Amino acid sequence: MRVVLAEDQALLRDGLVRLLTAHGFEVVAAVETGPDLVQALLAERPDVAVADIRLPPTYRNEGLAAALEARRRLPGLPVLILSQHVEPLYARELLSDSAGAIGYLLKDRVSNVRSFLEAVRTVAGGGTTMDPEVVAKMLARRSRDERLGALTPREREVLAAMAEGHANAGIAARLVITEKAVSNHINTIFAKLGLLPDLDGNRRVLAVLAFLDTA
Amino acid sequence: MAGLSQVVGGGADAWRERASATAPAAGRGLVLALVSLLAGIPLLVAAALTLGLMPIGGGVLVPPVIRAVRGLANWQRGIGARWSGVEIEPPYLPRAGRGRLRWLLGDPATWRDLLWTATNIPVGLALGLLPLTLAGWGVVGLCSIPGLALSADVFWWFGLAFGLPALVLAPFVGPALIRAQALWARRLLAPTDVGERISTLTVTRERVSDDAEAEMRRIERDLHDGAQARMAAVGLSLGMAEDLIRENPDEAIALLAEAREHSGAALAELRSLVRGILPPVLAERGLGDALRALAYASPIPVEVRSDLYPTQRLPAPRESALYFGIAEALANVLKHSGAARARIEVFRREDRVVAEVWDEGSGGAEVDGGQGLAGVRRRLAAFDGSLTVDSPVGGPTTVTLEVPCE
Repeated sequence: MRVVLAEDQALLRDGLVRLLTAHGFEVVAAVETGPDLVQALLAERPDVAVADIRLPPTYRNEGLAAALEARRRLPGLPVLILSQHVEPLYARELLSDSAGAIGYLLKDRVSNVRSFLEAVRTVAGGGTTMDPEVVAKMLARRSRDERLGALTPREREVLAAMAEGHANAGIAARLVITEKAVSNHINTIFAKLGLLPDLDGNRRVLAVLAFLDTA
Repeated sequence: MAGLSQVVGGGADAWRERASATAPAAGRGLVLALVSLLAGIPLLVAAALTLGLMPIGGGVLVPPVIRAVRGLANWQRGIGARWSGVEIEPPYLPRAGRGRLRWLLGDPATWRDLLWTATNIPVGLALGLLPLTLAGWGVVGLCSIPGLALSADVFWWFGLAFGLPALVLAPFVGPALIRAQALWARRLLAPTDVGERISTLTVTRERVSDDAEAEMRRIERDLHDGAQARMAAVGLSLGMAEDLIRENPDEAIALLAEAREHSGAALAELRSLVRGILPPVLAERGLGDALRALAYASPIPVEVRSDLYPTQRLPAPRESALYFGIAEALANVLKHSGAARARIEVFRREDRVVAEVWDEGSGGAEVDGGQGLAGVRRRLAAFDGSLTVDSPVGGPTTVTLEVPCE
């Protein structure tokens, strides 16, 4: 799997290259700035981009802007954004084209190697993965929503796991319940939230996130 | 109109009031005259001597003399307010860490005090003795009427001619003269615009640097007790894992997991600390988006309207002061108002940026003591900004923050 990496801090860049290479990924370009990232993405057309949000020259949100620009030209280009902080505002911008293949994670998550690599693969496969913290913030702001209030605590756990981008098997493992129980919960949740029941996979995640995001 | 009806309707009452003010005015005038002489002259002499002797060590005596002059000036300020309702604010500059002589002699108010002390000797004497003189002539005039009946001495006619007008004038002129003395004192003893401005600036500068210092201490403590301690624990766990990795791999793996947990917790603490210093969205996108992110996280719907373009950003210190001020106002809305919705508006008005935080809650909000909005007001004052609260009981509440953008 071919990866383009953008990270301005050498320590982290080298660490990520080593980590990805050790697990069978091929890092075809490791760049430091926003403009270089756009260029590398358009030239290499990688299977997945892993980019820090804050890059030179402005140290604002170059990584985010570069990823969005590259996706405008190559729709659905898989991008995983890493950041020291997560903002629902940015998550919304990343999700705005509804094409999926988007990941948005805290940098800390890299330390949990297995789940980080799973996130990279999910995004490369066209899926969506949101940091639990973004999901928690979205859930918190919708806490006054009647439809959310109608969910049981267990259903809320399932909803959060779904919004983070886990598949049924992953949710079952996480909550230590059967996959059948998970799909039952999901049907109930969709009925309570008024979402279409026949969505699956990535579109399901996007629907949940869209629900959590609408003001 | 009320005044007129009082004079016409309650004529007798008004006269009684006028008449009863005559004696106090005479007494007060006498006090003013005596003070102008007995306090003014010695103080002027002392000031001239000590200031003149400064080159040969008279400087030691300058501060007590200046303080005594200030005492006299402050007495005059108090008397003006009490006797004539002429309010005079003290104009003195705060010391703000300067040497005593530099502070006292560098304050223009000191010299205006001395000028007043000097000129008050003739002026205070004249204005002070006139009410007494008038009242005295009035008494003479009253005595003249029985006097005329007893003798045909021409003196009584003379007394009557002067005394009766004095008697009529005294109730009006006496208090007016005392007031005139206070008004004249205000010209020299009240703060000038420049003095007031320096005063305000000195005070706000002190407060802002105090607040900044307190903030620094808080950050230092948070780092020391939080992230630093956790990173030390990370190092410890890693060292122990390194030690055990061959003889007890299971234990080493457990220690490594522990190290990862510590580093995650340290990062989480640093994140919240960074947010408190400068919210990342503000750094990356400017005020408009930072406010949108703030509104996004709010449990009640908050509408954000901003006509500032991301391209025209305020100077960073003002931007953060406004942001934190608005965040504080919004936190108050969520905590106290019970409002179901709120609105944040940011716009330019002439050369200022104005932010209004509106809510439809229960009202009755105030700028409290040292914390919260009062702290925001201090921070904004450093840029000549301001914070006002309009919050009638029953609502709605509008908190308005302004900073100049030039």
